[in-house]
Amino acid sequence: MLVKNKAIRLMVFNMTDINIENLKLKFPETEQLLFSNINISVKKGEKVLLVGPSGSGKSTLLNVMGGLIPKVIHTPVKADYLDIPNASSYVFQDPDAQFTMPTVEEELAFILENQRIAPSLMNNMMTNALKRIGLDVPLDLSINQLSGGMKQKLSVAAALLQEPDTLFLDEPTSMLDDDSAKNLWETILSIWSDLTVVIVEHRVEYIWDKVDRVILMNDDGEIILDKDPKFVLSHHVDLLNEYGVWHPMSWNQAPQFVQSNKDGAPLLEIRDMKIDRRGIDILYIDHLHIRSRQWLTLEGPNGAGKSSFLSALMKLIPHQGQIIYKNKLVKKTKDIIGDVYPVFQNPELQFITHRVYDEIYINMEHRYDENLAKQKTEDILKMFSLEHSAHLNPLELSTGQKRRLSVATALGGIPDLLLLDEPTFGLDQKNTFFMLELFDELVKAGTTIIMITHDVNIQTRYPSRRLEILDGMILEKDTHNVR
Amino acid sequence: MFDSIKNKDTFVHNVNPVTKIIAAAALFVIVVFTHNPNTLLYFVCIMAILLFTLSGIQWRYLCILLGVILVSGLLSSTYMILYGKGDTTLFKLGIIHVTEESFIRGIHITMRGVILSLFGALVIFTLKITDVFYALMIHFKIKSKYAYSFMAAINMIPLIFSEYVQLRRARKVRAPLIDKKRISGFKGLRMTIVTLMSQSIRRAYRLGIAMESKGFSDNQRTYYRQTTFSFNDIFFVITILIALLISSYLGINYPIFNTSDAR
Repeated sequence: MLVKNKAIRLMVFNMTDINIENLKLKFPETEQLLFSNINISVKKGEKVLLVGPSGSGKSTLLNVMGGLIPKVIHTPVKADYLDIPNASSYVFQDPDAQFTMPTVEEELAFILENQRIAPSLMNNMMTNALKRIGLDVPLDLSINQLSGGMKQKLSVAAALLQEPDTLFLDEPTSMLDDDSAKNLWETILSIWSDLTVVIVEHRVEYIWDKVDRVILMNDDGEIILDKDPKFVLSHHVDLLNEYGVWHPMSWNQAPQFVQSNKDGAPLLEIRDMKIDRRGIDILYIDHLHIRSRQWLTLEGPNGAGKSSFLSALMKLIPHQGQIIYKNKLVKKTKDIIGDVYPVFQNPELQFITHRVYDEIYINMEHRYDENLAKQKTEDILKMFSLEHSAHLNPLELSTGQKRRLSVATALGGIPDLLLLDEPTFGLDQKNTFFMLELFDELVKAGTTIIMITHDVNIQTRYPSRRLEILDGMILEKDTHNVR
Repeated sequence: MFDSIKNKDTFVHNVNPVTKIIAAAALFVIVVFTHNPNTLLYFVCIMAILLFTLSGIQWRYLCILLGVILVSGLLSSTYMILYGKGDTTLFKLGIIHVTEESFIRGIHITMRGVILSLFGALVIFTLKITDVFYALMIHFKIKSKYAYSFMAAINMIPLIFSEYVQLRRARKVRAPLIDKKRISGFKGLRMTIVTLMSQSIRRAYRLGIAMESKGFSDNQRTYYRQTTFSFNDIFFVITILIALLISSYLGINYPIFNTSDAR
């Protein structure tokens, strides 16, 4: 009986790339098991997409399947069967945390050196790998000079140099704008036919119909759905929505707002603004009027100067020309602080206390007596669903929570003008829709919002006005409201 | 590292880092045992010329650097100049007593520092950081674990700096809205350090995993860059020797100070 069983296993083993049975895993610093009984198998050549809310253990499961846990990340693992591929490689999410070396060739050579390839063969292999993914850059180019999208492509090239059977992709596009994300997925699709591919990804619209299976995990680290993508969409959209996971039909149930057509009083005027970056002009604005109660998007390709424009509005970087706010010339950041509030792209770098509660409270303690300040702080925490994390250090929060908190810090007093640099970036469906609802409420309460966003779905649905920076000029775009 | 201010590559860029390091050590000994201030003065001039011609760096940056080196060199020798012993008084005011001997001794010390600074600058400007670590691994058998960790760490420095700039901006925006005690003094400093450190530690952790997932280990490996010794190394050593010979010839035959021994 036992022998027979073994034979069957061997047969299965030949066809499967990954076979994990009854996996148990616990992080040393926590009480609870992250996984108590996970069973998963992936056939050779299969493409699998793992989705789920943050904290559900998708990345951890990916790391077990690729053997990083427990080999590299020393976390105790128990399983009845743990067959994992020998030749696998990874692409990770952070373009700035996966390169060891300063230049393209040295980075690629690093991988070949690890495999003890003869140096004379390296040049050819590197050129081929770059050609395969369509990254046309000189070998001696510094990696710093690559855009985020190109860095991730380089990561794919690096992964291919490891000659894997299995490719593990851990949110490879989560730090990229829409165009780069699309481009990266096209690249990956062009090379993946012979590979087994396991993907953890939020941004699924480009790959949903390309994968063979979609696996949904819940907050308790359990696999609750494992079906082909079409079936999931036709039968289980409610489950995806319940866990706040993006899917191709997400935007069909996005919040819809009734827009008031009344623009408010003139708020901001910009005249002859010129911004340069190391001596090169990047943006010139002849004249721009912004009224209150407007919801503006600021669009344009990466590096066009969108973030610089917001910084210049805050007088954080030097510029020529005049900014007139409520009929007064703005000379220093101080002149508009309190009325105008920017939320930058990296929430981590905007926190100034070591407790979530304090981040909000310090905005209140100045303006209200202690009890009222506490009350208001708790209200805001509740509003942003952060009340259970109030005691944590802001840096311990998840991406979505961090971003919520960074916006929450703006609401000490309701600002007249809120500048947001990609406020929905990297958020799941639930958090994104929450943010959009919040912005709508703010606009209705009289705040003007200028938000940088690359998300076409937001650009075409919500703003009352769209601005685009293109070739150093700022242009008005039509608002095609699809609502 | 200095690509943004570099004009061109010279043969010194192709000199093995090991040669440069050994040359620097040798030069240190030679300069310390040179007591003729005339020789040193000529050597300073020749070193400056070498820096300007061989570093490939834009001259205006070199001029700024030269200024900084000279000023800091002079400052460091003021103690010796102002309070030194000697017979020929040049200037006296209270406890300040400048004598010809102390003056020359001070200048002599300055010149030693300046020579080594100029040579150091030439070496650093022409050094590729990866070459240094490759050379250390290949010739000095430094463990690859340490070499690559250092290289990865050096890559992160610009990121830390840009995060610091962002942090400063965010602070500037939030500061007027809150009580000063929250961000001033030690509290503010601690917050800055904790934030930057936690970002870096997280990034380093991720990078470590990425490195190992790419098959990095402390085992045997091949080396893409072959740091061998070439004619460039010989040229480099000869250039320095000639510079030394010329300056000692000029120092003996065309003295500028009226002493040949600063001691």
